[in-house]
Amino acid sequence: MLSCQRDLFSLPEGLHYLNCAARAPLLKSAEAVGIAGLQGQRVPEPLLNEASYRLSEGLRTQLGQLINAPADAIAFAPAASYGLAIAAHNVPLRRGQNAVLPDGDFPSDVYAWMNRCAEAGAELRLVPCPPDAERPARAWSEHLLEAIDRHTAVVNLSTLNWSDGLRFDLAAIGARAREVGAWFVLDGSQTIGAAPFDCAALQPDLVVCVGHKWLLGPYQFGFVAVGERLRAARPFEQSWGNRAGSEDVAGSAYHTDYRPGARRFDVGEHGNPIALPMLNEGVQQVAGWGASAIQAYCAQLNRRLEPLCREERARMAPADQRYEHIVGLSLPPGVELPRIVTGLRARKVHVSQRRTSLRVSPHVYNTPEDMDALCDALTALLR
Amino acid sequence: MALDCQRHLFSLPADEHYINCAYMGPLMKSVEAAGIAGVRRKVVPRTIVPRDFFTECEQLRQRFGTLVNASAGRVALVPAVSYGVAIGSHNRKLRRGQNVVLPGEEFPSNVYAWMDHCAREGAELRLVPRPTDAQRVGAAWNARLLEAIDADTAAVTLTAVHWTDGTRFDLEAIGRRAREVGALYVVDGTQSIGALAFDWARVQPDLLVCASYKWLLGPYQLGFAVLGDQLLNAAPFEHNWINRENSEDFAALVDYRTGYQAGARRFDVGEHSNPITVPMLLESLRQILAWDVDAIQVYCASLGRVLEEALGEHGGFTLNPPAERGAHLFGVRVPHPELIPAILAQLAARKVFVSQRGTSVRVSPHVYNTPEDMLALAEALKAAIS
Repeated sequence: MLSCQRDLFSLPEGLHYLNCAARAPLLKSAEAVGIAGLQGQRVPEPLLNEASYRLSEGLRTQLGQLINAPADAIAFAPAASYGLAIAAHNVPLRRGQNAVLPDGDFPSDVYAWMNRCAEAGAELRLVPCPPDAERPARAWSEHLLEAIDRHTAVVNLSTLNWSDGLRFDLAAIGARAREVGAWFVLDGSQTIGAAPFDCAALQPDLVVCVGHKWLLGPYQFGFVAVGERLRAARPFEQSWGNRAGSEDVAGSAYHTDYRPGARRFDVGEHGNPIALPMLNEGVQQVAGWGASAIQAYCAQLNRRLEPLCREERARMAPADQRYEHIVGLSLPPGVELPRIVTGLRARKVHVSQRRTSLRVSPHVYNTPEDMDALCDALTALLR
Repeated sequence: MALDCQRHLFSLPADEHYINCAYMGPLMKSVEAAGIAGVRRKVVPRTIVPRDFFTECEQLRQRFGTLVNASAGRVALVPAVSYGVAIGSHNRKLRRGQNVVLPGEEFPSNVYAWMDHCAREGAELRLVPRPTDAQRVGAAWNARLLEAIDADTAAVTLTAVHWTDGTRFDLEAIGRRAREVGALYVVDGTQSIGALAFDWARVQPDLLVCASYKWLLGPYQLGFAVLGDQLLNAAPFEHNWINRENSEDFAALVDYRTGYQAGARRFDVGEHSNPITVPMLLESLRQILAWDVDAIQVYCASLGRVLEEALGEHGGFTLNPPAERGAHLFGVRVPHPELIPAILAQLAARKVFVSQRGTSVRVSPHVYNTPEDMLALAEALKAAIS
């Protein structure tokens, strides 16, 4: 069992930061390598030197291990939207076909297909969460399975529902997508790093993941895992650094071949001397803790929310319907969520409102006291 | 007002002669401080309010707009030249028989987009090589570029000064010709903007792209694309939540929108509101505007004269004439180009840092350089071929 890891962070005493799903706090070690990388630019170093190449390739390997995918599948991307665009540009979509997504999914996931569907005359099939208090995630997964038919060209979803942590049955949905020949695209931004994720088992065609949440990395630097069917596709930007032979910066020859694997999809200027080492630090750390241990640690914390639910001040989905690092609390009818969020902030408790949920997202730097502070503050605000 | 040497604003070691801004700009102390403050912003993620995502990015658009004389609404934030150029190449249809005109040995990220596009559509990638048979290379190159543009030209794309040797292109004349034939006009300002004046209103490109880590003395992975009317309503190739209308209202993010934020903002790269790089770039642009771009050229020109005088007729080193080159970026041609790698190694041993690009030793001074740097370069060059 993991012990609290707060001493690896610089969170001030008395701050109850339960909002990793919005943005992770910075590891002390990531702060240090970020500043060192920045100061390395006082006198510019060669960009494609051996150290930076080792770092980016090492990070590819690490990220691959984290999701059980080969390093060759990994490309660096600034945002989820960037990675999703690789799929949206290359998945064939015809009139009469459809794209299936959960309604209320993270907007970048939806927007990737909204435009494509409109252009192609295809249907954007958004599947709402059915009202089912006992088994909401199961029911939603079933509805998604029913929505997938032989006209489905692509199924795209976040690995969990970003507003309340409900876990989709990815294995079943992926299997159904393959059965009908649909492409299977996942947004792991709210899962990878904090919960187990297995590419070999799920066989997605593409997985995107931002860096600044559960990977404890910087903003604007995440990754995309590109499945084999998409790996030979055409990138939408043509960066010089992604070509085979680009190491020779003095040469003026143009190269027609790309670097191997998914490297052709690396965003331009990805050899970022600040962000690369920061993400590397975060990924090493979460891999060291282990996703199962993080889930178990958060589960312990979430037990502290049980009295709140017993007393019917809040409701949350049963544990088997959700993950432990993101929990959506539904408050009694008529309660204004913005007022609650502001009131909690005033008591130094940081959570987010997402849709109709108060989203609580703990991590290994949180303590039982953080959860108690949340419960006490909520109780006071709901009085 | 003539500029004095600004080396005190940088952290360059006293004995290093870094004359290589065309490769990467060194970090100003104030930019470093802004970056460190930015890194530390995430130590405790602040209450993230919509304002944080927008305010500084809007200032950035303003500042870059001021630098190039374009309205802030035309400015998009992009990670790299390749990304910016893709906005143009994705939105210009090519047909068999058409052509895309660009100078030979153009910067690869500006070539690959068109190379692929041409290959797929059966169009011609018309690379206009650097003239080898002309007395005045710059004048001849500009003339041949203009001649290469014809009724079948679908796009004309070039860097404002050639990245290998600083040859200046006549952006206004080439732009006029491009418009005449209805070609998309794309300018890569990476090797000039910040050090050499650029006037959007006079050049009238359809697309201007610029990386920040060279002459804008900014960070890696955050640059600009400025869009003309023709591209402002084009389709972005990435669809981020923040680029849609009303994204300021975080509570309503799943009321999916079809409209975009105004102007060029639809083309902003995902997660562009970067708390580290945006403040760094804001600070470096502030300083460049305070120095004034024309003053930077004047300062660099005085350094160029020091170098030319010190080289004299010695060893057959040749430079483009001042009128045909950037004062901040120029190639020194050497009698035996195959010796350049060995020459650079000897320069580096004397702590003189320049680059090789193509058949030139590329020299790129800035306001932190001194006459002594240029004398050290001249000495080292002479020693290297003796």
